[in-house]
Amino acid sequence: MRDTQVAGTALSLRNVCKRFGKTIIANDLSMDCAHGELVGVIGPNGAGKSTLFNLISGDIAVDSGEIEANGQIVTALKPFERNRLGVARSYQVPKPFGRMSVAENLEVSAIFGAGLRRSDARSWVDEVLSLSGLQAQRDLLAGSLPLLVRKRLELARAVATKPAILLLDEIAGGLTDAEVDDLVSIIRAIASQGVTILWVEHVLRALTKVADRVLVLHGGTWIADGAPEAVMIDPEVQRIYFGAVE
Amino acid sequence: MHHKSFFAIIIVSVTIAIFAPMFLGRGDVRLLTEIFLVLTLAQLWNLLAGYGGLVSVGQHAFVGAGAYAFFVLCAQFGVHVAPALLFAGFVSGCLAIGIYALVSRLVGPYFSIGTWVVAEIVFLAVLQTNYVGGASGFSLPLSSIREFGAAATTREYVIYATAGIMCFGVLSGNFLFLRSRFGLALTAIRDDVAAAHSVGINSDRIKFILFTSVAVLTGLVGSIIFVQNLRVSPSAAFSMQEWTATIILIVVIGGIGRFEGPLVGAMFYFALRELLAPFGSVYIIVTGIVAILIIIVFPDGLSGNIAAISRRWLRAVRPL
Repeated sequence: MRDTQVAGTALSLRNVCKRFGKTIIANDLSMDCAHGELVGVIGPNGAGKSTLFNLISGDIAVDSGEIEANGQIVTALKPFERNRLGVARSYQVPKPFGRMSVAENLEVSAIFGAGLRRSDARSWVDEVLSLSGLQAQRDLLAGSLPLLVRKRLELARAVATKPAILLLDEIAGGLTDAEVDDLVSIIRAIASQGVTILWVEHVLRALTKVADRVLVLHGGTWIADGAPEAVMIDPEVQRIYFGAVE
Repeated sequence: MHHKSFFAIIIVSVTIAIFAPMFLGRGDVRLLTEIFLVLTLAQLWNLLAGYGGLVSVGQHAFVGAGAYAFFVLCAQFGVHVAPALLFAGFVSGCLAIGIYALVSRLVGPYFSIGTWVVAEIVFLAVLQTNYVGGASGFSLPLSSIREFGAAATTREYVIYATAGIMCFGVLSGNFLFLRSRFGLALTAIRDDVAAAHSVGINSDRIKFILFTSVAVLTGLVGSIIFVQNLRVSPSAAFSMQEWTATIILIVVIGGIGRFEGPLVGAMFYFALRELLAPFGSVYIIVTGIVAILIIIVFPDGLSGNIAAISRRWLRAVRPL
């Protein structure tokens, strides 16, 4: 979605460490995502998947290690600077700009995140609205939307910043089968424009449909990394994540 | 509100304001001047606190700084009143940069208390400075007063016009600002700071610009207020009750974080004050009680709840 794409990996974590007291979120964690890759991230509750996103987006600082996004070391940058470099995110608990309309939510993101001029931002907002299926709600106040539409707005607002790397935090929860299919096709459409996507999701059916690769986070390290089908039948993953008895 | 209807209302109001002094007595012109100035302060504070989330309770520092800067320039350096007025805004802005460096690290209520403490320090510093007359202050020299007009009526009309230009200028500027890209960013910050950061908005920078520009305009208003009084003293120029508490009261009654809030609040406040004028200082007590009742009954302020009620009423009359 960004016009300029840098050679090399889209996103790299190098020896990232983060702990809260005794809880270890990231223990010497490293990973690489190629441009345009769609990576699913799973793990048991409390494994620190959301915290991992906070580290990448800059909402929380790492204890040590390095994060490179879209060709730049972003470890010391603030969230707004990382967003302008192409890192966008959705929040697990939606944070809409409640007293602004849906279209204004996207417009402000297009102007400041994507750096568009106001006239260009308007047509881009229309594109994002139709991509995310929010045209009918465009003039409604974001604060008046029901939860599922708010989650859709989280996705749309992140997309409006024209990201190179998109972090999606549990946006499929609570959806019906038909709605999941709908969401999956939206995410495919975003991925087809060359956006690298990291998707944390409990609805595994949605994830395995689109992910090129699945990573499993547990105890601050990756316990599995590979194609969705292979990861799901991995005995270690089965034991820790699904609680299977051997 | 649409651009066209807003500016139509502004043009009509300005036209009325231009011709109003012909039909009003001098007392009424003075009252209108005061309304213009207080309404300007209320609009500025609403922008700062209601939109920017910078709940400053130390705005009297900038009113006083502007007034003193203006008086010193006129009385001690013999500067003409027009450039002195602009320089007063500049001094107030410089003070804001210093204050912001101190208080910007404080969050929420700590920020508010910080602005209050710093404002008191500025007040005490001026109080101790003999150069500006210490506690008793000093008067504007006759030569400066004459620069506003030789006759008293001309002078009052010039001050009235200056206040009107400030008020309508800030009102229009506020309207356009909130619809600009920075206004959108400010509204986003008001609604959710973390989310605003996540879409590329630099809230620190926007808040700094907001705090400083509001201070510049507050200083300008401060100097005009004391031109009308012809005399400046620390307790009057740095009065927290008049330049901060009353302003907060007006904005909260009218509806904080809403464009129409200060307008509705100021109309209500001045109507109440004039109504209770014959009873002396009782008006402060009554205004306080009324304010508390309004906050309890209309938590969104008069403008917010009137908007909601009228929408409901319109639906009831004409079901669609």
